[in-house]
Amino acid sequence: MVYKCEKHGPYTLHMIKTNKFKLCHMEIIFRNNIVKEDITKRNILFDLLTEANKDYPTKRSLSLRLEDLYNTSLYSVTSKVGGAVLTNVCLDFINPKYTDKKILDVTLKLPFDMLFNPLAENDEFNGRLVEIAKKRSEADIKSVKESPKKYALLEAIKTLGDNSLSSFSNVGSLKDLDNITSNSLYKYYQEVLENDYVDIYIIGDLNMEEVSKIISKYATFKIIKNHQVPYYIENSKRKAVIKQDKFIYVQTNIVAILNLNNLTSYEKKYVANLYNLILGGGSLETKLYRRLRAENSLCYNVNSMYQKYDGLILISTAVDVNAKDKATKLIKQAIKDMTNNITKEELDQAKELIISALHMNMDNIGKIVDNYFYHNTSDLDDFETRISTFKKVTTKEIYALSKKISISTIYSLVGEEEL
Amino acid sequence: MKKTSIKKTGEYVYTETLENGLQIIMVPSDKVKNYYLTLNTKFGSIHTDFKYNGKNYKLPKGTAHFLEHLLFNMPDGTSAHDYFSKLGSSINAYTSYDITGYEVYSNNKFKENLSYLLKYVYTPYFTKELVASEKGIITEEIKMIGDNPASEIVYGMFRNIFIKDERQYLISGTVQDIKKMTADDLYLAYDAFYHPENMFLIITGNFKPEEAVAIAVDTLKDFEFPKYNKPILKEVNEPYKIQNKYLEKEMNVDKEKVTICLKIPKSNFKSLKLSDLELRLYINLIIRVNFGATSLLKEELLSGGIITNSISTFLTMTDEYIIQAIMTSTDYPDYFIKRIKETLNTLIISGDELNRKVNSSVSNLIMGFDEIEIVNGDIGEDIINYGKYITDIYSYYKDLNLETAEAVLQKMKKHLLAITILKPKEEQ
Repeated sequence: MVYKCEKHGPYTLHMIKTNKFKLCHMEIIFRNNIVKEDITKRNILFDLLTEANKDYPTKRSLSLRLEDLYNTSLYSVTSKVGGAVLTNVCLDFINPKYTDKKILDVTLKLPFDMLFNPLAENDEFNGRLVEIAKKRSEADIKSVKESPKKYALLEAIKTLGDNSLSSFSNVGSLKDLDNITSNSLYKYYQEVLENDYVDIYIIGDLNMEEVSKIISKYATFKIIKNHQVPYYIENSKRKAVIKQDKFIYVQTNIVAILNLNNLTSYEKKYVANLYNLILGGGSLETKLYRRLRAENSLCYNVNSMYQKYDGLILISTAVDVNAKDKATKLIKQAIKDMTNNITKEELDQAKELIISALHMNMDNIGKIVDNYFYHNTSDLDDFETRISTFKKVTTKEIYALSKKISISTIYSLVGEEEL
Repeated sequence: MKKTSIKKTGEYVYTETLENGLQIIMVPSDKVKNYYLTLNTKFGSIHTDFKYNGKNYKLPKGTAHFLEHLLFNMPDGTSAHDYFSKLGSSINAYTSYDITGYEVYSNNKFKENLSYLLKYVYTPYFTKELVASEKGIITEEIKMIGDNPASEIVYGMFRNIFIKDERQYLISGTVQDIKKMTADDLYLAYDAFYHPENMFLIITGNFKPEEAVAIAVDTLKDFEFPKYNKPILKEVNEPYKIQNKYLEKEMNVDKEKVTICLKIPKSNFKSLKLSDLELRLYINLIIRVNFGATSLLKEELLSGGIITNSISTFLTMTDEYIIQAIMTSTDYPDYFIKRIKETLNTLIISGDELNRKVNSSVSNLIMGFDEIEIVNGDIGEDIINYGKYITDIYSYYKDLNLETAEAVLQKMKKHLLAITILKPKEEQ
């Protein structure tokens, strides 16, 4: 795998040449500081920019074009990463060597055409297109309730309070949706082009000199940016908030939020990862799994997720309506186990798991791009450093970390039915 | 060992059948670091009624899934999870209507991983205590499924469309079903269906086929397998009828979720002399053209505000029927149903559309080889659906022609239709 980076003023081009894949993958990554009120607008903006443009004014005409390009995929993903918001405009296409036609130039041109030639007139996006994107956004926001786990997690993080950048959903809100017009959306589009950092990653078995020439022809970004976009944010330590709501689910969903207070950079990048794997993020041998499932048959799933840039761990499970208190008690016991009862075997297993996962990522075209991206824009160490550093983490360091962890929220979304 | 080229992809499949009957299908790749193992048995949730060693048996619903949960336990009190966790491997298992599979995903210690996968799957250990303890966990899994609209769409559809076929029941069984489960049921199911002759091992990713076969032979030499008396499954004889033409259910959904399900007899197509694979490819093609991303209908419904996303489709085949579902979320279910019915009466296909879809399918075929899970899954599906891995699917795509497509399209018109709707449940 050969990595090459070219600075083109308003954007940076990163080329990763590898013959691992028959697929080629490009991501145009827009990055800026997160603004809560803009999240809904941002989702709609990129949804409609990948839905149609002046050359392909309907979704169908674009779909036909993509199918003509040997089933190329074009899509965008907006995500909240700590204090930053990222939008990845992604293009997946077959390596042209497997096709009968010369498609590289026209394929790479397409996402830039979508970005720079949108379906808009007189500083307004096409009204029909905006309405379709708004309806889709509304459906996305409302459909969160269809997933009990997702809904419980979103309600739980709301308890962090409006001042916390971790407290809101990247799906957006109905209130913000109401205020979006064709004109306000177009203004936001211009702001994004002016203010967002742009990185373009392309990976595949391609002639990268040719790729660079093609992209520089079509990536007509104009403005050089010069401001900070920090990822890490802090959530203050507080007395645990206990909250309960009822909903029409069968099961009761429980979410516990743990706050990680004043961690060092080493703890954030390494120790906390292993802490999370032993607690509930790894195999079916975690503290949480043993307490809730293996020993008490209370649940099918229980897991924990480490949100590195938010300094949080989110624990989530679903249990019988009558088992809420017992499950909550067992979650607290599992957290307590982490302060004084970790075996060498558990730590070794967690290390094996994470090292194995790092290797697994190297077969995934999107994860390879992620690795380079966070290495370039954040503090992610290179592959070899990560592996060697994880190997050195000790039980003592995990115990020290556990003293910096406090429960921030215990949220229950209580179900109502017996099957 | 047999080596066969997988047409148009530059890849090869290696196959071997061991003396005990276990079939091994392998697609190696030195481009990736990982490998993916799945050990599968042709035993799923629908195989509950059968004759074995001269006796008739009827297992509780959910037996295949329950057995899958318990098979991880070993006689020494450990679980397969203990062993694989130490290796850093990811493991899991799955049960569908017609298959149960045990999987390992890893990138080192190939010998240990493969060997232990075979060891634990071929070491059944079910006790009264283990069965009792697992009932609580599976009960919660069933309740979790009860909160999942996506699962209810599939189960609701099958409940409507089938009269006798076991697909109308939950793969896991209901809470009431699993209350009846005993260790004896599990041993009976294991003896009847977990013989190597009824199973197949698929390996994809970074490994050497010769080494894989040697490890399997070496591991299994310590196991004794009796001569296999294959169970005789009771014939379904599913009638050309449906359970309900229309059914509504309230659930935690925001918009109404509409499923229009067609029950099409395979006998409709008898005169065309098509294999199941060819029939599936033609019907997929026709459905994609008329209801897919490039269809006129989708564009009309999207711009008219009837749908906000796509129209999903899903095809499955039983011995006697093709079940084709067409689904969406909408605030206007009646209008959606009306337009789907009208479109079903005026299905279209053209040469241009056919060529475009064939090219995109070939492209997907080639790109699919980047992911060892997809390759593994495709092999498993082919074995279950067609009895073998289809290595020349490219030729099948290229042989699709307009004349046959038009004939299939005409014969799709004779079908039964059932509608299932999930409606928003009022919040309290």
